[in-house]
Amino acid sequence: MSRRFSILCLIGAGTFTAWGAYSAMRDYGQVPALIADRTTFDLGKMHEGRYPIVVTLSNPSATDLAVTIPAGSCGNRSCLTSDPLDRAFKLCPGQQIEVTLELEVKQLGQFTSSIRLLACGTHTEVVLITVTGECVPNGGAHENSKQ
Amino acid sequence: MISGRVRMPLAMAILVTSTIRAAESPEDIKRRLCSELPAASQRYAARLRLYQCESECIGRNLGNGAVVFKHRTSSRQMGESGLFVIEPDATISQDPSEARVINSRYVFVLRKKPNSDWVLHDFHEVTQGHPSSIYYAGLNQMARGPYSLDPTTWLPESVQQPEFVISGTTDEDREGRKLVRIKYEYTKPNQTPTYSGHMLFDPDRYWLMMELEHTTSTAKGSLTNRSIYEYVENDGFPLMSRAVTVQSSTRFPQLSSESTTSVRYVREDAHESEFTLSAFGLPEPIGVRWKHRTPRFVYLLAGAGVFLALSVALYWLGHRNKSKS
Repeated sequence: MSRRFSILCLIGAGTFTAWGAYSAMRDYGQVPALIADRTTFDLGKMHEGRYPIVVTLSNPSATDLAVTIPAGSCGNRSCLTSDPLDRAFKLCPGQQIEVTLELEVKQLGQFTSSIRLLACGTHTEVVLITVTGECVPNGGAHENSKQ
Repeated sequence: MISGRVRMPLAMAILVTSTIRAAESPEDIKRRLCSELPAASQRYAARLRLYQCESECIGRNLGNGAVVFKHRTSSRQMGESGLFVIEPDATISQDPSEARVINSRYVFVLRKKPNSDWVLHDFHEVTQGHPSSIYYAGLNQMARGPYSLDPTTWLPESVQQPEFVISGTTDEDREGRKLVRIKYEYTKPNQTPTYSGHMLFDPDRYWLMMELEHTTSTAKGSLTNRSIYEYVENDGFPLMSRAVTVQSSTRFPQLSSESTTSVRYVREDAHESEFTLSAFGLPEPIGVRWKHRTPRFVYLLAGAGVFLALSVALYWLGHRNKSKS
């Protein structure tokens, strides 16, 4: 009788150990769930104007991601905004999606702009997309987009 | 029509409750403001940190009487951490509720549409400094006390600038309190608008602002805010209870509005856990764990240990009984 209970307790100990190990891995083994195919864009020489920046986002995790792309912000001589503004969507496990950002180059000279993509799944994470380049006068050299 | 019998006591009452008399010179009052106001505002903010605040604000168009906005706000703080939540009345506005929150590790902004969950709208780690993209007005103002001329002009700092000119001053007695009215003009360096108006202070109560008329003027026109602030005492500490602001513009006179804010302060402690993503039902960032929470796996492994010990004890007991028999 005691031996039977002993085996039951052993099974209980094994179950709790496995559950605890899984829980610990979830707590400490967190890896990014929102992956962007590119996070930096060096566009080289550009003219003033508006340009689309396309980023492919994927979710390799096993959890749904609530993704938010804030309206965007203006950096040095340029603005990087989401199109449409203030976009929010769900990215299912294994899903990929293309999002289009809009770069507005506003003044001559070196420019830098960035936008923070936000994701909530098992944890909260931020993917920073940064665009750099140099705005040159119209008619000048145009070595467009090293994308 | 007021009869003579009523008019006389009324005039006496006005004389008693609102006596205006000669005051210190503008130079003297500027020196006094520079030396007393910053310290008074810091003392006030330090005591205000013991309180949590809720308010309701309703705005009306003075032309047609229509309610143009109505919202509730909640401001809680603990040390450098805090939150500011603004909830528009859904019957008047379709704008989402917004929460601006800061804790010792990160700052974030959430938005929520009616009947939906909070959605993360902005997020920055505190190590990178306070980002300009997050709009902190509200969180700062509620925590620092009523010393702003407008959302971008913090009076204890502005008054020390040489560009802040005091052009006149009068003392007023009101209900036994000695108040100081100050007329000012101010132009911020490298900025086009000029600011002017007058403020009524209570120097004996942390230089609290009792009234403010603040006009922002540009070549295109001017915008004037006239505010009256009311306070209640809590253990001898004055807390704002009501603020009424009338806004008028020379360019858009038909858009004159009046906003009335009712404020309630409650003296209670807040905990930093209130200022986390978890408090709003969202997951924490990678690597962020709050000290007070024991991870679940610790309890599970402890349970496993108990089962293992029990198993060994039962096995040993069974083995011993078998040996005896």
